[in-house]
Amino acid sequence: MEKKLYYEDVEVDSDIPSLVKNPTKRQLVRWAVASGDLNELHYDKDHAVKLGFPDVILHGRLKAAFLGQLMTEWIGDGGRLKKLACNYRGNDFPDDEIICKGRIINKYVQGSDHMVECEIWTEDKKGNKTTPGTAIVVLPSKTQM
Amino acid sequence: MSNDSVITEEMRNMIGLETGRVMYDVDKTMLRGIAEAIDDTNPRWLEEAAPGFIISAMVTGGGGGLPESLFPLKRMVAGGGDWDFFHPVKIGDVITCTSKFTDIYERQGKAGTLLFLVTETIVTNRTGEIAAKGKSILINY
Repeated sequence: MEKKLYYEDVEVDSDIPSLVKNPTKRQLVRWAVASGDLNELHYDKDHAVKLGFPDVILHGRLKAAFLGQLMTEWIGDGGRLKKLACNYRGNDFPDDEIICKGRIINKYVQGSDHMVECEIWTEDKKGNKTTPGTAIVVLPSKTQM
Repeated sequence: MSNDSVITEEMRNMIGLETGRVMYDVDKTMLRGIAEAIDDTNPRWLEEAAPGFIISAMVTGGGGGLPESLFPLKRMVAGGGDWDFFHPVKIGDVITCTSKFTDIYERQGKAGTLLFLVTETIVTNRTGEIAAKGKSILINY
């Protein structure tokens, strides 16, 4: 049985479990169609080269969606993702592994909500933070059991 | 390097302009498409929208309807976004995504002027409740 994550289990300055992604060009096409973003920069290499990129690049929103998965996998069904924000700072390319990472930076109670704030980012193989951001989740508390 | 502003009065006057309003019947195909594209195999996302659904351009893109006169410079790139999730969106929900152009500002970068265009989208469900909000930044440079 999956272990439920509680507010009391979470410590500021600790890492959240990483999520490794290996996006392929096929995946970018899937995301283009499913998400309604048909910008050629994400599936037509000739177009990407014309714009000055070495290859097609990942959609910023796909990386934001990966960060969403990072958070929901960590908190499980008992928690709730409340907010996610990120900047599309660096380019990532298909067939390059990226790792979604996060660190807890704050926890506090607001009304009846037990909130946890995290710094989140995607990291490329050189260690660059290509999509830095933040997320806020609400976790169940053992005091509410 | 010139420090002249590329933002005109006419551009500033467009703040508040509605740039899109689109309605979706949320169905399994839509949610599965998003979950498969993210490669997230949690079966939960076949019934309830994954965060990536709210993040997707078709839901909180909003910038698609910005008038061309707001892009005086050559190139365009997505700069980032933020999203608030208030209520889960589930299969059978009918959602309306209403987008507005909400801000414009500029900065000087290494490549010259960077023009930032902000759009905000409100996602409401059938009862009029706000399910989510999204903010997107496009950079014209």
